[in-house]
Amino acid sequence: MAQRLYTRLTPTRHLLGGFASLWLGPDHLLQVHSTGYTESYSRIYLREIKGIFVTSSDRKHYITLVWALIGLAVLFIVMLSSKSMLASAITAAVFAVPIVWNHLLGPGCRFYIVTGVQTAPVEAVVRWPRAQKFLARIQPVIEAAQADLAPVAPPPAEPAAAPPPPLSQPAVD
Amino acid sequence: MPAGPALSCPKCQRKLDAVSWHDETSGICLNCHTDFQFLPFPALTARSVAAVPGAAVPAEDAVCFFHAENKAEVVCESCGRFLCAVCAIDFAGQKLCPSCIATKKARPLQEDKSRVLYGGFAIALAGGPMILWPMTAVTAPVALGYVIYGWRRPRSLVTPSRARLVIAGVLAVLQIVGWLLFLGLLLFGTHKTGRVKL
Repeated sequence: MAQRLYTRLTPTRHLLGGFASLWLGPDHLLQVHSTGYTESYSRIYLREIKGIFVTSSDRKHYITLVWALIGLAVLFIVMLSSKSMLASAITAAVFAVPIVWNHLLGPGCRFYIVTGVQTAPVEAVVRWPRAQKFLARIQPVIEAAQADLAPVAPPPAEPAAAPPPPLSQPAVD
Repeated sequence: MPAGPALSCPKCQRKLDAVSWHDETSGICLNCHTDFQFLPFPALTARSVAAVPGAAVPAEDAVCFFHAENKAEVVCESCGRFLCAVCAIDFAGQKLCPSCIATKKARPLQEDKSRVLYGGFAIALAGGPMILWPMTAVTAPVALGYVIYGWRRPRSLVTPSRARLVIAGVLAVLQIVGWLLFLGLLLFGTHKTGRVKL
């Protein structure tokens, strides 16, 4: 049996054209984009990670809006075709499930890893609670990998330049 | 604000020189008004150290393959050439010479940028056409071909099991056996019926 080099960091996220996930290797993070038939990999070495950006996004609101609109449309059709309250209630309940689930997943976010040459978006992390968990997991790993990189103190501020001497007025005879 | 080189806003890509920091780790980009959290790591402020080659003493030290005046300090882990501090490049955990990196001779299998998942193809060919079962007469042998071809090919880096190949292989074999039985029964059944009729 082949030895597994990688440990899963995030669950697989479904994208429009495939799946995205993030894995931890011996000295790098591996971003995997899969179509089910091919996988492409991008590696971010732990020693090269300069920082991590997390920004907020409106993902949660958009998803809620889409499900609510679809649910209302279906509910409207059900109410027109059937006078039964039970059918309407079941329809509403069916569409309430993904809305509640979306709410429970937490606010949306975008996650970026900054290296010397790129700011790589991490597509597998799109919610704040998961981003916080992910950060708590990889922060010690990255700090351990960069333990020998002593931070360089910023250069001392240059003393303010002395104001130029006032121009002497030419002597007027 | 974290000390270090100027960063770019991940959304608008503009430099974060003009940024309003709420505290040490969070702020807002004044260009696109994106709220962000930033977690800096030591690599942000670490200074890269330039390699300084040592001068070789004639007849005593081995010299670099590429620079005859520099003392050899490392051996390339791919081709075995002596290298000075300038030529020894730290690449994926190995010390390599520039030519080995250029020709990618030393690139291990784990450094692949992409891989084909033969198991995915095989299972799609073996399982998908079962809805339109007559198609399996064609797709089952092709799926079995993928299973045989993909068995020894490099698998996924992250999920390297052969489970999908095994499932696809079993399905394809069952379909092929089913077709052989069907054809055999058809031929044998016709002969038998013919004899009875005669």
